[in-house]
Amino acid sequence: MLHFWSESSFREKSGWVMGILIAGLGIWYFAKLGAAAWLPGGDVPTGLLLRFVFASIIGSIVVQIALVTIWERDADAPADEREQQVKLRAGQWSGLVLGAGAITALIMFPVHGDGVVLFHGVMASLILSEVLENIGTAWLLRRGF
Amino acid sequence: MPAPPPIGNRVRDLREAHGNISQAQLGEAIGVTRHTIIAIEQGKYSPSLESAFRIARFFCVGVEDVFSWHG
Repeated sequence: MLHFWSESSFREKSGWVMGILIAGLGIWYFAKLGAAAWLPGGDVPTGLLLRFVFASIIGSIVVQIALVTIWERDADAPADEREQQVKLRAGQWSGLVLGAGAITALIMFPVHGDGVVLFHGVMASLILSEVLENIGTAWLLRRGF
Repeated sequence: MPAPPPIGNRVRDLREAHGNISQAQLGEAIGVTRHTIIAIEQGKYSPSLESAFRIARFFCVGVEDVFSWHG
């Protein structure tokens, strides 16, 4: 495990940690809501949504500060040509997932006619796309690109 | 896993022949990270033309002395 971290670039470490953080928070949010997230007629879960947003922002800041503190020198270095290409590729995957999810949510809207279900469809797509961008970046850097 | 790029290289040999300089030192000299040098040496990444020339110039050899086509 120690070898894995010592052999990883800063952006790979950041990708794994941020991807796991966002995935964890997304799973927590939708697990809390359960089937209610996808059933028409429900209310917007304002309290849970605010906790999710707050946890995402604070969690991201804490994680980034921790990573930069531990690997200060690596964090300062600008992305090189390979890292830029990897980020571009992961960003393309992420954009495809976000677009496909958002379009699916919009197509389904006339079927159920519920704004909260539409909102959760777009939100799930956004979370998935963020997870994919971060994990995808880390995975491409690890696998070789 | 995708097929590795059909480009071989002698970067590791050249590093060792030039005083065994580290991957980090080479990376710093040509403007990439140590991890990118590792990926190049392992044949997992083909550098840009600019970086290929920078590597060759660093070792005072021609590009074709560093990289070869295996396709």
